[in-house]
Amino acid sequence: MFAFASEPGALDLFWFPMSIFVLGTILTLTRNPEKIQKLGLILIIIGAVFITISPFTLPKSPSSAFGQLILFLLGPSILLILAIVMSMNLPNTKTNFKIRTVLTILGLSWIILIWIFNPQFNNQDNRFWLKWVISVEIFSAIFLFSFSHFQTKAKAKILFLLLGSLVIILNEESLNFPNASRSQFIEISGSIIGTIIGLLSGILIWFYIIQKLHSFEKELVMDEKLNDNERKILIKKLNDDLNWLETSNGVDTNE
Amino acid sequence: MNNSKYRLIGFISLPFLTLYTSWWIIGESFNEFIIQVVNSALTNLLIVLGFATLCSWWFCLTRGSKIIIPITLNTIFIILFLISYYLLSSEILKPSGLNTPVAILLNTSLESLTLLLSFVFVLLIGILITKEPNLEEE
Repeated sequence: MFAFASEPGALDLFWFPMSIFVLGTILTLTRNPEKIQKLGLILIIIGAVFITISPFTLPKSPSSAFGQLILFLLGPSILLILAIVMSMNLPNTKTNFKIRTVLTILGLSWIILIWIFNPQFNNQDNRFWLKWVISVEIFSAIFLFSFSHFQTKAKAKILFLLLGSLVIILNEESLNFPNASRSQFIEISGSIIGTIIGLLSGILIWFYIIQKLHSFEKELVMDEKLNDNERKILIKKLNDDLNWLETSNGVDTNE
Repeated sequence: MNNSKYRLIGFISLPFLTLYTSWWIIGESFNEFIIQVVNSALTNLLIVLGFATLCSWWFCLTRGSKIIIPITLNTIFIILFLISYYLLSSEILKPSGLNTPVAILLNTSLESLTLLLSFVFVLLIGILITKEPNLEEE
């Protein structure tokens, strides 16, 4: 791999792959020809692989704790995604339902085992893992509370409310649950609120600028009549479009 | 927003507010909360505008879209980066263990990615749970 320094460091083995990952995401998500989108996907995979193996390539760097988090989540996520793919693409027979349930239970048990054993990085708790666990708890609680709000039956309402409350109480230190931390919970709540504010304001600025810049463009002025030259150009263009429609059957493969 | 949306937000926030109030009463510190809100808001604002700038340069160079859009976005990105750099240099907004504004921005961007991963994970579980099994005969 390309090295910015004589000895590869965090810049080469973590942040450079991260930028490759971001570039790949831009190429894949924006409207580009299929080849470019495939290239973007390859860049995403290369970037993700380098980030995932960063705990082995950069064992001392604090950023590698994030790589370790990805490494831990890879297995359970694959199992859960397989279960979802099965439920969407295969018929809902009893056998498929059992396989799906086994995959889901395996994935969740894997996560719970990691949670109990509390992953370490550089002889300290992996802080990204702690943040991930607590944010999962916060998001689950938010989902459970919203489910509770939309329930019509009182028993279901109370059940979801209790479940959500139990999830957030997992961070009460006096109850001695693994990884419980009040300060982390408060910090991550702040991060979630800040992230929502930042993302929304960023998107608003982006859309406002594009809308404002487009509003400065001069509107097209229509002539009363086309002259002979314009008429010829228009008819030629219309003919070209008709020919293209006939040959490609109206499907643009590049979009 | 109509009343039902306010009621939903209130219903979701109430358990969290109760928990925070009880922690505040027993003397838990909330200093990091404000620091995290400001750091995350600034970092994510820069991430979105950085992403928008890269996309607009890509469309300008490959699709021939107007150069004024990437230039404007780039200028705003640079101005906001300088403002963030100045704000994050102050001692009040420094999280523990991080000293330089660039380190704070990089660390917060990784934290935001972690939040995104956790949100996706909860969504996956939600899809699995809410998908009703309509069993067919084998």
